Amino acid sequence: MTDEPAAPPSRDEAADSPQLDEAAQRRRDEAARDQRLVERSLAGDLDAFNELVGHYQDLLFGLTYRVVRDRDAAADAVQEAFFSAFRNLDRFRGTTFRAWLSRIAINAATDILRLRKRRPADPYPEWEDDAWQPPTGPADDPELQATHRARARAITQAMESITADQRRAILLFDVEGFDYQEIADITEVSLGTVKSRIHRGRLALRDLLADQMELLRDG
Amino acid sequence: MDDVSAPMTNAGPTHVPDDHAGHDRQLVVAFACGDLPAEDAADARALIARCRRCAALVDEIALISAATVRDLVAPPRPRDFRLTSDDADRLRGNAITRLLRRLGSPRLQVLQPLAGAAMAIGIVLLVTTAVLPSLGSAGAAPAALTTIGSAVGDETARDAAGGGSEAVPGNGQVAPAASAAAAESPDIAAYSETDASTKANVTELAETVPPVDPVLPIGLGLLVVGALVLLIRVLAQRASKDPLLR
Repeated sequence: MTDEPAAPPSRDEAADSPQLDEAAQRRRDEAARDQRLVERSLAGDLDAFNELVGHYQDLLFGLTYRVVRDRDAAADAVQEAFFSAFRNLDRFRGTTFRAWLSRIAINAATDILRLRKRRPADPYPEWEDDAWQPPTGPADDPELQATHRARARAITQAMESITADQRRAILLFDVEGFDYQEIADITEVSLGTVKSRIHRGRLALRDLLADQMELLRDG
Repeated sequence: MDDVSAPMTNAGPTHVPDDHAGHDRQLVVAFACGDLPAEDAADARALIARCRRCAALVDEIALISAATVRDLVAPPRPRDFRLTSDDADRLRGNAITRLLRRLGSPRLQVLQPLAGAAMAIGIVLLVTTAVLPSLGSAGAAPAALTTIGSAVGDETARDAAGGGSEAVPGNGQVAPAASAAAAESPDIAAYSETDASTKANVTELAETVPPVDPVLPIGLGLLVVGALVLLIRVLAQRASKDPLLR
């Protein structure tokens, strides 16, 4: 059959592409830079550690915010993650510093979620944080803004409905750009489980968003 | 944790009353993610080529994936998380905390098997140099005690018959007065001979008890040092344990 669909290349398989080569090279450079900064931090250089904080604070805040869906709680989780990283810097080894730090931040965010579940008096915050909306330029069409908000709302609500493990795996893969192996290291599960979570999570999202596909196409 | 070995077919909330309902949707999703090996990818391709809904599923998965990246935006961080020097001092802790953290550090993890090995060697040395010999001589001890007991029994009997003795058994020497008396009385002479025999028995027994083996303190030392190192490591690890590093 001539019109058989071609298999979409996975991020791991398509390592031959020049863009991915570039990305891989950038990752290697970052890892080498982080290693140098970690060694300087271990020698007592606070500026070196703060340089690491500068590189990763946006990533960690985005990650923890998407887990806890609350800006203050996400900020607390990031602060705790950096404190913990500073205290335990001599324990960092193996994977990349970015993955190690992300794992600590996810643990901090997960602890906050657990604490909320244990305290029913403390209501679980709305998954959709209406207190903040993406910035818009003056030239943005109000209709486009409305569509964008509706789409964001639909996706965030669907993400809320899938399991926490699936949500975490999809966030780490799609949004934060970790590869399967890094996600397996961060979440301490096997590679097969990571893939399974992502596949099942995407299928669940598709079922939840089945009625809103046209909205998602308006991009 | 997800059950990776669970059946791949997953009937979702959208029920489709045609052949598509029986199709392996997990296979299609894995294909859409580019995660299938060649032979499974061929099956998936064939499925997608003959089922429009499966083909649509591939498109929709890609669409959702792109929308997740594009629309799931996070707000800007509310503050800067760089550490101040006060933060750093507080996090480094006092001297005891730093020492415990250093002792509990994974870099010293090699100490644990070493301490365990030292303890094992110490126990083996203790058993072979102290416990086993004492068990082996446990059978000989009653016989030696019987010998001493009979000698002491004879002596006591003679004390009762002779009205006491001037002999001093403890120092191994017979008092000069008794020696002089022994020359005059045959009873006293016989007593002195028996007493000398008892002393000889005791001396002989003393010679059969082995001296303290120098290996014994080495084994004891290894055991104590190994146990101390293990204890300190466990305490230091507990003290410096961070729940976020689980």
